Amino acid sequence: MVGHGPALRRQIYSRNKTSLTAQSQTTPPFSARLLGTVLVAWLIPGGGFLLHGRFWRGITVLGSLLLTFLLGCVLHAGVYWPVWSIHNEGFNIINNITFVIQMGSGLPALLSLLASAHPQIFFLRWAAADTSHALYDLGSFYLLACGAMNYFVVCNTFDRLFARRASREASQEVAR
Amino acid sequence: MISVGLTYVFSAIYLSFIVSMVISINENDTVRRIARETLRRAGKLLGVLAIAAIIVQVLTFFSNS
Repeated sequence: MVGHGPALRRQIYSRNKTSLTAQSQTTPPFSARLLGTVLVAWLIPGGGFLLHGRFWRGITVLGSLLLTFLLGCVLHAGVYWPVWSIHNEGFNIINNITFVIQMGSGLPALLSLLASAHPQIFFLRWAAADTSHALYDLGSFYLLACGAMNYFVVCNTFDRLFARRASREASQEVAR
Repeated sequence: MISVGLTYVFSAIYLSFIVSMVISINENDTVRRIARETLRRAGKLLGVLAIAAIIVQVLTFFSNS
């Protein structure tokens, strides 16, 4: 039976207080393990899952995103350093946003950036951008999709491995 | 030129499937559910792309150039 007047107000206040406490505890504590996992998940697509023993999920993500990145490179695309100064003639905001999203691919994107900056490194020539090629724009779109998907996977890695556990532990504590 | 066009068509299908698959993997746990949601999402995305392609093609009939 629900009470009336002050009793009901007290009950609602205590319930809200409990849920607020649970909410503040759902954020996982910042740790080296968390930072390491997120860093590995960014550098190697699916690496966060592989690190925590979720092999099939990690390998599927790694395979699909790496294949997408490599197909982009086959189409003569690559990550290159854009112009950041708005006073420069070559400045283009689309290039800057594209660069930030493409960098989501992690290590493959860093290798491609290195290859575009130093084309003389012969074993990285496959990853260098060839902006004059007819399929360069299409290849860039592959790299863009790969980077965007990896950002999403990194967030999901954090959510599955840390945030949900913290949320579960907090709700168990409240139940006790 | 035909091969370049086909590359674009293949890319649209491939990227639709990859994006749908990664989203489905992130949101689900069982293989059956992931496969079903991937097909559903990719179908929707390709359907919308096909409609956009038809609209663009029709509009080219009315262009001056």
